[in-house]
Order: sequence, then C-alpha cells, then structure tokens
Amino acid sequence: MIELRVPREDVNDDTATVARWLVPAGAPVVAGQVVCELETTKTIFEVCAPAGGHLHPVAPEKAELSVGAVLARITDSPEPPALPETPIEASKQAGEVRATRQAQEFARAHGIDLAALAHRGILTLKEVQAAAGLRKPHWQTPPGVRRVLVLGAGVAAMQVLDILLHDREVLPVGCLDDDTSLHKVSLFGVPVLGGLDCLEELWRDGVFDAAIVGIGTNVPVRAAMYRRLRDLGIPLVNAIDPSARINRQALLGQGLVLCAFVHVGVAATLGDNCFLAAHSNIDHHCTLGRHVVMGPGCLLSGTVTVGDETLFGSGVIVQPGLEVGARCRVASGSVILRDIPAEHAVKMRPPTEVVMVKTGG
Amino acid sequence: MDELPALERASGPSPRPLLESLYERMLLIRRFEERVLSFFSEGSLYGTTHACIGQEAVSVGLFSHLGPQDVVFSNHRCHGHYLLHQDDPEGLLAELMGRATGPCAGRGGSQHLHRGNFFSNGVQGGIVPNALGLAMAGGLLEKPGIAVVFLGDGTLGEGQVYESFNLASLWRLPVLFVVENNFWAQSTSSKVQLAGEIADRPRAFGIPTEVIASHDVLLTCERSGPVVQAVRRGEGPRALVFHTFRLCSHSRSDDARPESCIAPWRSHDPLLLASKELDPAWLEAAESRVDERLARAEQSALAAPFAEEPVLPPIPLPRSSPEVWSGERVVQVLNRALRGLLEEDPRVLLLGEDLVDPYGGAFKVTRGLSGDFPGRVLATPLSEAALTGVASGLALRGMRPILEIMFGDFLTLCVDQLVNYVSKFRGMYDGRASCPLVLRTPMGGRRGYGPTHSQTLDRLLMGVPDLRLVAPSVLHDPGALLREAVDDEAPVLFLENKLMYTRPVRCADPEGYLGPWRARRTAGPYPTVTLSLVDFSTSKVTLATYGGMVEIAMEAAETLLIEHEVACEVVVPSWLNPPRFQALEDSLSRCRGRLVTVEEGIGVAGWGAEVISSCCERGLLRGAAGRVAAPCAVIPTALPLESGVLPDSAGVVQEVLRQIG
Repeated sequence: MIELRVPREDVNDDTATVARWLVPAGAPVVAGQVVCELETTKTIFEVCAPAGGHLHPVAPEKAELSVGAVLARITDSPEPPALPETPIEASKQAGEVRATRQAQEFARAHGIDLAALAHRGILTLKEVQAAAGLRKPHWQTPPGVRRVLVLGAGVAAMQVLDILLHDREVLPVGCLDDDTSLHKVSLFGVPVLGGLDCLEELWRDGVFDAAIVGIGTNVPVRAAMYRRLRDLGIPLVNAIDPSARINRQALLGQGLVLCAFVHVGVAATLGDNCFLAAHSNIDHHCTLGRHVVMGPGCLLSGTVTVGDETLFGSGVIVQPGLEVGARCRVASGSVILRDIPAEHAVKMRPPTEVVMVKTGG
Repeated sequence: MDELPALERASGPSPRPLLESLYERMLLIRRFEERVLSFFSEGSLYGTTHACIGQEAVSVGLFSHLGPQDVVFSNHRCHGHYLLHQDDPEGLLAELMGRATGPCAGRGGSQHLHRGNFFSNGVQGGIVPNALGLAMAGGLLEKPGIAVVFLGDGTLGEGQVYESFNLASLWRLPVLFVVENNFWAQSTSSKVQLAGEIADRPRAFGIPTEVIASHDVLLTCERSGPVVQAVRRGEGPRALVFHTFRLCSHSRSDDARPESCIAPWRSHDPLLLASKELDPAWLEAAESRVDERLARAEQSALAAPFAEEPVLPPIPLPRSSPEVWSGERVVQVLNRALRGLLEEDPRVLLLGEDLVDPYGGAFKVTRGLSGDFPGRVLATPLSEAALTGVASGLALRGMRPILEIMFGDFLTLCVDQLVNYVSKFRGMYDGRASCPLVLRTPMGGRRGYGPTHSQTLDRLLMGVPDLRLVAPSVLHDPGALLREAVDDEAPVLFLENKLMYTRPVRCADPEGYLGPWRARRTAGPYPTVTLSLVDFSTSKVTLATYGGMVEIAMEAAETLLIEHEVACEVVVPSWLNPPRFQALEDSLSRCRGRLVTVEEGIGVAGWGAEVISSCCERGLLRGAAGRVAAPCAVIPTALPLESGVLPDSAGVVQEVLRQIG
C-alpha cells in the first residue's frame, strides 16, 4: 500500500484544500497519472499517482488538509483498505467542557459536575467555587461541624483561616471582601465569594452557620463588621490556635482570634472580637475590652486593664496593674510605665542610653 | 578663467512685442529675487532662499508655452517658476515672510509652494516621480495639460530620477523633464559629480532629449516650443537640458565658486542680452511697472498677519465601513475588497510588482483582478521609491492609488517619499492638498525568508505626522479596513502580516462569542477589538497587541488562564499611530493597570514602548509594565534560529507571570 500525501507547494501555505478528485474511488491508476487537484491560497496544482494500483481517496473534496497529511492510498485491490480509525484528539471533542486546571481540581475534590456549569468560555476556579458556594448551601459537613464565613480576605483573614482549617469543629466555607481583585482568589482553597454586600443573601440562603471577622489592625472596620454581624443575628465563632494556652478560669467573649502561642492567664477576661497575634501574653487577672487588637509578642503583666478598640503594635510591655484606656494606639516596642487615658496615642521613644549598674565582684 | 559652453543666439531680427513681454517677465523675477535677498539680509524672511538670478531666460522661454492647465513640479529653486506659472508675487512674498496670506500660509516657505497646478518641494529627486503621478492622473481623469518637472545637474545623482525616466518612457506619460544645468550643485562642480553626458541619461531610456545652451530668451522660447507641443500631442515624455548659470550664490553666503568661473557668464546675463535689443525708454517704463508691483506686494505682505494655528487640525477620519464576516481567509477577503473598490470607484488604481495574472502578486492578493480591470492593475518595474512617488502624484491629483510593496522590508526604499513627500504635502501646503494613497505591504517572519524578507519595520514609520499606520488582524474585517483606508484623506500605510494571509478571519457570533472569548469592538473606523475570557469581569493583565501577533497573544492568554488561573484581556487596535486610548483605558481599568505589550518587531523605540509610555503619561498604569518584542537582532533564516528570535506565546506567558510576580 502506498500513501499519497499533501506536498508543500509554496512557503506560505501550511494547508491545501482538495479542489477535485479526477478519478473515482477504487479506480485503477497508473504511475504519473494526475489524480487530484489541490488548491492553496496561491495556486491550484495537480497531484500525480506515485505508482500504479487502485486509488482510494482519504479526504473528500473541499476538505482542508495539512501539508504531509494522507490524501489517498494506492492498493492492489479496488476494495477500500481496512484501516484502524484514527482516534480523535480528546481536547477537540465536541461538547467538551473547558475549565482551568485549578477549576478541574477543585471540581474533582468537591464532587462538582463541571458539565452542569459549562458555558461557551473556559470555566474558572472562581466560577466553580462561587457556583459551589452559592448554589449548594448544604456542604457535606459532618454533624456538629459549623460552616463559618470569614469577613475579609486579606492577611488577617489568612491567619484566621489557618486556625479554622485546623479546627475539626468548623469548616470555613468562604470569605467576603470588597476588594474586587480578590474575588477570583481562593485562600487555602477557601473561595472569596464576593463583596460584603453578599452577606445578607448568603445568610438568608443558609450558606453558613456562623461568622468571624478576619480584619486585623483596622480596628474601626473590625468593630463595624462585628456590629453588622450582631445586627443580623449571626452567631460568632472563636478562632483559637491549638497551641494557645488558656486558663480554664479565664472568661472569653465571642469572635475572638487567638493566634499561635497566645497565653491567657488565670482569671483573665477577654471581651468580644479581640484579635491577639502570636506570642501575646495576657497575664493573670487582666481585663481586655471589646475589639482590642494586639500585634505579636505583647506582654501584659498581671491585673492590667485595656479599654475597647485599643490597638497595640508588636512587643508592647505593660507594667502590672496599669490601665490603658479605650481607643488608644500604642506603638510597637513601647514600655508602659503609667496609666494611659482613653483616646491617646503612645509613641515609642527609642532607647538612647544603656544604664549599667555594677552588681557583683 | 573657465571656458564657456558654446552658447547660441537667436538669428534674425527680434520680434519686438514678444521680446518685450519675455523681458518684462525676466525683470519681474530678477527684481523679486533681488528684493528677497535684501529682505533676507535684513532678517525679515524666514528660512533659507534659493534665487535663480542669471537663469531667468530658461524658465521664461519655456513657460511662454505653458498654461495654468499644465502641472508644474519644481524644486528648491522655484521662485521664478512659481511667478511665471501663477503670476503671484504678492502671495510668494507673503509666503517667504511667513504670512497667512501666502499660498501655504507660511507653512511651506521658499521651497514648498502649492497653488493651483503648481507644486514644489525642497528635496532633490522625489518630485520627479510625483510629476509622473500627476501626469498619469491627468490622463486617467481626462484633465487637459501636461506635467513639467524641474531637475538640476545635482538632481541627476538621485536614483528616483532614473526609476522615473524608465517608468515615464514605459508608460508614455505626458511629462516634460527639464534639466536646468547650472554646472554647480550647491558648491560642487558638475565636473566632480557627473560622469558622461546629461542628455545621454534620458536618451538611454528612449526619451527624446534636446539640449539648449543659451541665455537668449528668444532662443529658449523658440526651441522649447516644439518640445512642449510634442508632449502635448501625446507623443510620450521628452527631456529638455538647458545649459545655464546662476549668477548668485546657492542660497545665501554659500558661494564657494571661484570668481574665474562666474565672470565669463556675467556678460551673458539674460537681461543684459535682451535689454540691448530694447528701447531705453521702454526699459525704464518696464522697470517702474515692476517696481511698483513689487512695492505693493511688499506692502501687503508686511501688513498681513501670521497664521493663527501652528499645527493644522487632524485629518478627519474616513467613513466607517460595515464589516462583513464570511469566515474566508484574509487573502480572499482582501482580494474581494480590492475587486469591490475597483468596481465601485473609478479613482482606484492598483500598482505594484508582479501584480498581474497569472502570477497575481507574491501573496496572491490581486489574483484575478488584472484580467477583469484592464489598465487599472499595473505590474511595475522594481522601483519602490519612484512607485511611491508616482502613487503620491496620483493621489495629489484626485486618484485613489493602492500601491503594493512586495515585502515590508522594501519599505526602506519608500521612506524618502513617505516622510518627505506623501505625508508632508498636506502640512506644508497648509491643508490645501491631500495625498490619499494606500500603501499595502506584508510584514513579519516565521516563513524562513531570512534577514531581509522577514522584518516587522512598522516602528520606523511611527510618529510621522499625518501618516496613518493601519494593521489588520484576523479579528478585524481586513476588507472593511481597506475600504476605510481608501476612503481616508490621509495617506495610509496598510501593514499586513504575511502569516495572516492564509488564516481565516475570525468573527464573533451574534452573542459576542469568538470561541471561548467574548469580544467587543469600538465604534467607528479603524476599530479596536477587545477580547476577554472571563466575560469582561476583572482580569489580571491587559495584553495589547496587533497584526500577526494577535493569535499568539490569544494562545498565551488561554494558557495563562488554564494553567495559571490568570485571566488576561487582549486589546487589538487596527490603528497604530498614535495610540488610541478608549479601549485600552477600559481594559486597563478592569485589569488594575497592568499592561504587557506584544509585538513582532524589535522592541527598542517600538510600538509597545510608545503604548506603555503614553499609558504611563495618562496614569493608566499601576506600576511596571511588560514588553514582549523581538530583540535587536538580525532575523536568521534557519527555522530553529528564527524561532529563537521572534517572540512566541511561551514568551508572552513568561512575561505576564513575571509581571504579576
């Protein structure tokens, strides 16, 4: 059997169209006989049989073939040769659903049928996640596991999610953020479902059971979101890292975020919606109001009181028994030696002098 | 002392009224030039000036056979020609003084004049093919008159002159080539720059040539008459070589010629020769008539204002042409558009190398047209420069020529015409002329054509005032773009991509889908197409590209979304220069100001650089922007090497990922 292939006629055309077959299928041909006319953008040219035999066209008239593709076969028999069917490329199959790699992985992991979501474009992770979140309110959560929505999708929300994802009693189902650029993002596989305007609709649709604020240092916004959740009657959960050490007599509010290695000492009290970054120490008998936010490594000695919505930078040290008022801002590294009245900012004065007193020898 | 050429004198008695009339015209030119030189010394003129003092007998003799119906294309030394053809010393003086009442409102100045059928340009050589185009258009539009073009001995060093001799002779055009040989090209004697005989040059192309060596105005008049008449009778082109001499400097204070070579000519001053035959009382009267007229001209010019706007308003856009989506290949769409244009518009004419059947053009764009439109599809010699000049002349006189340059690489041969003629006419003639030609040419590589047939040279012609750069792509209807280009009053460089010819035009369906893409296009002529894979919700990066890179950018965008979850928009303008911002601005607002440009040509000072810097100026960018373009390198022939130089979709993916970190 001899294969007749599409020749390259000029440098511009990578394909040629079958203009006309000059011999019927199965007809005998002799070597050098013109059997077919091919057309390129430049010209129409003739194709000759390279050898004698019976001609069996592979491509019909008007078909467009790549240079080098099989045009016809020449065999010893007028019967068409039996040939295995050429497999069609998987990706070119009609009706194939196109989706991004991450969308496909997400769909596989969550048992989502992409065909049900298919449109004429390419399905993105965002679309698959949004569809899953919005159209399937009842996630496959074991009994007793609460579905949690996180308000915010920035760096603080990531810390919250990190804690929630290690907590077997909760399942974070999504985040909301007004920054539209974050809307296609997923944080550790948790989709950003939309802006905060979706909150009521999602709550109404029963997409989640409880919520938590994933906003850090922007204390007024943190407080406002807490109030909004409260107004809607949405329960708040605490996100407490498993490495945190909390005294059993301590009193904890709701919506708290306690990051890794936080220590809450004997009989300390934390108001609702506080955010304490890693390694913060709230020692015995301390009292924190609501929406208090602390950077990492703050050290509160015993019996310190902190008012609502006060923000500490990192590494702030407070001497025992002092009182820091509401809505204060305390700079990182400050050492508080006296009471701070409400609504004051404490700026750190860098140490300029090291005082050494000889104590031995 | 240099020897004079053998100068002739008219024999027999002088016909008094004719001599008087010729003399007075010479006198007007002489006194005009003298005034101009004195104004120049006073500093009341703008720019340089080239006087023709001493050469008056040549032009006055010749022009006594020409009328306003004849087209004249003159060079830098054009005052005398202008005064003879237009009889407008008032306008010319105003022009030299930069006033709004000049024929070009002070935009053209001494060397760039246009009024009626008179044109001049200050660059040597290129006006010769322009004159051919004007002559050809005259014939096609059945206008009376011939075309006359002025050359000097210095002009004979320019290649376009010989390309034009060949074309004029081949096509038997009604052109008269006039060589005013004054033996000096600025400061260089023709002895050191001209080999052979001047008259042998046109003769070599079969152009009958007559040499007239005389400063006797009666003789130049008498001898040039039959030559003009022969051209007028349609006997094809003729050449006249005048031996003459300039008694003043080239422009001002740049006369390096030795006095020994000037002195012998002084006794052959044409005014002196003629005045000997004339009555002194008449001479005095003539002198005062001329003086009076020039004084009036001076007065009115000095009183005239300057033009108000330094820059002319932009050329209006053409009508928008409806897009037709046939799914055909680009080459077929262009072919059908050309056919339609030839059918509908008698002003349309196709010129180019190898255009006629059975070959039908190197890329077959004109296949089948020469047979159906005889005389309107012209296969030309390999004379890209002169062809551009001819097309330019055709366009100046109301035709709509479409010139094909076989490979975009050869555009370098056309740059002189495109920069100093085609795109200049409107601006330097104060908007009183337009040059609506379309120059089609294929750019781009990936065909293994190697270093000189694969380049994308678009950037060389970006930023040329009034020259539009239009690039079709598979997302545009190239036929509609071509119709818009032909309808455009501006000259259009229509940049095709040779890989695109065999690609089908891709149109969006009624729902606005194009495969997986959503498509939007701007309204009006030369639209910009914007594509989004995520239904125009926010994307990460805007990919701006054009022409042959479009499908490469689309492939990259699909890979970026599927493999990296990075959505990009693809913005594809068909108008390249200067960038238009409507679609870009929209897209950048959805992509948070992140931009990557994709072009096939060299990036240095290229299209992408211009797009990025102008977006930056407008504050449309968020921070850094990326550029995908060819490196500053020669394109090799071997495929693996060529692929290493030309930007591909993997490069686009890489650059986008780099940009978003």
